[in-house]
Amino acid sequence: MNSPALGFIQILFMFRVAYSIEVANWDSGLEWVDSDDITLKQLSWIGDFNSDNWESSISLAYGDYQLDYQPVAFDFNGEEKAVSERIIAIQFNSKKQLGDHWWLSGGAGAYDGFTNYRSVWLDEYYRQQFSELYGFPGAENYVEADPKGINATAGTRWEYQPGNGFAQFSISALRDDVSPGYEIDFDGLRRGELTLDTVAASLSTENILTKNIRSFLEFRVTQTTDRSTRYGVGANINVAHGEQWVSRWNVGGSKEDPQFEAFYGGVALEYQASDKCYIFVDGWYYEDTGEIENALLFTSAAPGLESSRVGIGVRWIGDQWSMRIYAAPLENDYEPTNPGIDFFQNLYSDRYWTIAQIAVSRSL
Amino acid sequence: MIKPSNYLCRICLVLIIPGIFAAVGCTNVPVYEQALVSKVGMTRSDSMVEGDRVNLLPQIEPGSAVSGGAAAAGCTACR
Repeated sequence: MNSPALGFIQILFMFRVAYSIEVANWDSGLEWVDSDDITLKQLSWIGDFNSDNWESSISLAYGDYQLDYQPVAFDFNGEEKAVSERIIAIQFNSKKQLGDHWWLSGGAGAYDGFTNYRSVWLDEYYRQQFSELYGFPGAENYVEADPKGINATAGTRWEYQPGNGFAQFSISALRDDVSPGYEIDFDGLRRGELTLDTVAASLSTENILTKNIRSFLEFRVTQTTDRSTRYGVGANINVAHGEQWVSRWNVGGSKEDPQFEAFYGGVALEYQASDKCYIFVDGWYYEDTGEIENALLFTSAAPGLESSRVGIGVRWIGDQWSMRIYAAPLENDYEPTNPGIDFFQNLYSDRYWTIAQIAVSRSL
Repeated sequence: MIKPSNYLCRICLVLIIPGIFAAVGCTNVPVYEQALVSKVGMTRSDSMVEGDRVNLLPQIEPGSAVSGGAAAAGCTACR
């Protein structure tokens, strides 16, 4: 399913695509998120290219997941295993100005691979439990996961107050072939949906409130196959405290019936140390009530989560080359579950993560 | 650890406070007075250098995802 050679070929292909496009600007970034048993890496590249009427961008990403899979002691079918998976993604976006104050935007994208480490962990769990049930009712329901997806989006941007106020609306359609979930009882093995369809809409507004305050507010609605509608809101306010200091305040949340709720907020303080050098620190807090589920006994749904981080970074903005480096320790703390029956306690265990980012951009 | 009853209040704050600021934003700031709100760190940007986003973070904090396709297909019972 995954091999270093295949990943290498895919990276070469991505950069061949990137090289063939005459770009005006490009950004490239590497993210590394690491804990004792899980390492996540993502390499991204975004190129902007413009024509007379269109502003377009193409982005490429390659993600790599490394997990030390560890079953619980009472999982007699389970075995420790080093698991490696990857994802490759491509996205194209374009924007055209229709009039003095109107823009039309659209985009499309695709990916192949796992979208997160939790689905990798669960896929390994289900493979060890259910891939060799030979003769058991429903055994034929087990399938090798082959996650991939496509998306398309369209939107518009309106400058409703010239130079000061902007509103943006977008609607997206997504189709994801997922790694399915399974349940087993005396009636046999049951499989969850293999394909999920999602429609998402977003309405946002950006305003210059005063000569030193800028605000952004966004509402989101997402509807996915067989799930209730998820509502989300996010807001941030950026404040310039004179020529050298900036603070950025973020707050947001999401809600989905019957019980999922998430809240998060953070603040960043940035100091301009010289013409080109900026130093910043940030703090972030997140909590949620846990995944929505209706299982009776054994459930792979995540319990409630609390998470926080404090980070530090530096930004260097040159005439052609720019760079950003950021690092932060992150601590997450799950609500306790019943350790005697919870097969997923090693997935949803408290972890200390280290986040590192480096990004480079060039204007051509 | 988590008190779900507090969430409604928090979501209300999330809605009301920026709403007030958005309304105040109907005031007009001339372009020649926008130097501070246009400097690095003040504008919203998709750039990995000028933005603050950590792309991998929604994997750890799933409720913070700003765009959404399918969530992890955890279990048949998960909704």
